[in-house]
Amino acid sequence: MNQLRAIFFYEWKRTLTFGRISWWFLLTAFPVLITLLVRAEANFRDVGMEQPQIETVWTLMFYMLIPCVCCCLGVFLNAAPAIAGELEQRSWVYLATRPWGIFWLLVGKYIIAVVWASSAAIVSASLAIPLIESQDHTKMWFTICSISLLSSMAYAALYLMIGALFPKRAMVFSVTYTALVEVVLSLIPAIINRFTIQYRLRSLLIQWIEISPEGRRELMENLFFKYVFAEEVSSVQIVWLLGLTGLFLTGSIIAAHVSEFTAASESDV
Amino acid sequence: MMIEFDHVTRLYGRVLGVNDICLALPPGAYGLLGPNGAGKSTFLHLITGQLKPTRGTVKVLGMNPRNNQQLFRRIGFCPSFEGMYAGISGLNWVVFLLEMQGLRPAQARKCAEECMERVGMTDAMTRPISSYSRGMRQRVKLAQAISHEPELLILDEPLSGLDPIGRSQMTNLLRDWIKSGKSLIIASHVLYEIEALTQSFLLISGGRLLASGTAEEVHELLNNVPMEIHIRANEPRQLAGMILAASLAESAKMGRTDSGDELLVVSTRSTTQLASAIPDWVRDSGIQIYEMKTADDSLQSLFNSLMKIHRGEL
Repeated sequence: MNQLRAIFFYEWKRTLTFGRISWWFLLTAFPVLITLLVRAEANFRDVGMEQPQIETVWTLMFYMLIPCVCCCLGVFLNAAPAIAGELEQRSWVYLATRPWGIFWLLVGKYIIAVVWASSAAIVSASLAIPLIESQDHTKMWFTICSISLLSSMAYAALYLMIGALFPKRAMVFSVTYTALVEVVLSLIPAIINRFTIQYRLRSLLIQWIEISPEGRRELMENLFFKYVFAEEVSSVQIVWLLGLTGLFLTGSIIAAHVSEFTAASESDV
Repeated sequence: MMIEFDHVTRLYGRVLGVNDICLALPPGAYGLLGPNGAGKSTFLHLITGQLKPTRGTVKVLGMNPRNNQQLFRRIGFCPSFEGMYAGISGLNWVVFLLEMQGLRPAQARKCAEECMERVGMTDAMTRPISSYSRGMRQRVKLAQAISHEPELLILDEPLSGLDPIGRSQMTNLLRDWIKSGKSLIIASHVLYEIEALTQSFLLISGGRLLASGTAEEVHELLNNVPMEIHIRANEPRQLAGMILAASLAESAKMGRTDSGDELLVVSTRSTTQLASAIPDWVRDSGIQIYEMKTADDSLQSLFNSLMKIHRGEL
């Protein structure tokens, strides 16, 4: 555990640069600003919406802004270039020749990515949720924060794996994968979407959201929604998300060990 | 055996890194000598497990080095490039890597401070690495490699960038390391750097292990290999005739310098005799010699010749 402590400590220090801190504040502020703008412009009661429906709309909006945008971007900025960063500054070999150096490096960077993104999400939720009218702010905050944490964990592992498989094009591949699989594929009403993180997070939201049993039944009877949300209980979704996280993390560790990330190029053989 | 290579070939696509190397080295200190691009870094990356051979097998301390966590406890590696975290101090960098080696923070700090003292960095160790000179960075790189007292120390061009005093200090430090009975492999393209440390050499060029042996054997090899000498004179053809008549050269040919002047290129095994004879000829015949130099003052000419011997061309 000395290795993990060392990696965490040094990586944490490296996140405290002006650029990284600015990004953290930007990610934190973005959902708060959008909430303020929507609250100022939209008048839900004028269009005949009741309080429970209004709360559902707000929860969906917070879901899109915090676990989807804030967390995904947060872990993307930290986890995707985890290996590429070490390779570019040629520090990889110093760590790769230490006992379990690669393993602890990846685990340490993963934890930093999760802490960095989920802390931004939690602060953002804490600032944005009190801005709206709600009968139960605490429950909404807890729902959004729990999903944010799971989202950060799963996406950080995914981007870390993409970074280990394609270190030179980690950012491009991560964006492409997110757009194609996590956005498009997860909304395709077919079995394949069940293997996406987004499908599980969305299903968890539907399980935890404040919605009447009739409303939930209606939702699930709709042919489209039937396939874009899972009916299983929340514990099943959590197991799925933790399983995907474990799978991606294992994949990234194996890929990093199998690949030859030497700084020796053909020119300095 | 400390290191065993069994018909090891490593390719980077179509480019050869090392080519069919076979060797077995018992524990000790060895100099890996070769010109730039000879395959030294590939050799070192193979023994540190950063690369796997395309063909053949590599064993270090009896183990396959690839992802071998047990082996990583027993080796220390100093790469030729820098790559340290520039924002932290030299001391913290060494502490960090010692913690990565598994040491507790307090123990790591103590070891790191001792090690920084050994490499003469105590005064500057708390300054950020970004403020260090090239020589200071070299010392920190060496400190991180020796800080956990490995059995086998692997150094890639560790003296480059050091001033003469630093070079001498590092050489003494490495001599002490060898005297303590620990093993060392040091790669360099400068013969005297290695000669100051060890009498055992591995000569590598074009990815091939061309020769191995002691300093005497390498010097013997140097004496037996024709050396190419470039001479710029006012009467180069007349001088060529005199050299060949005295049987002091295997061959002599005319060439041109970059500026278009005539150039006499002599290939000789009798460099000492030739150097003694030329002043007499100059005095007696009035030939003026403007410039006389070996084709390359590094080891490149030796390696070129060894390569030709290896191919059966000499």
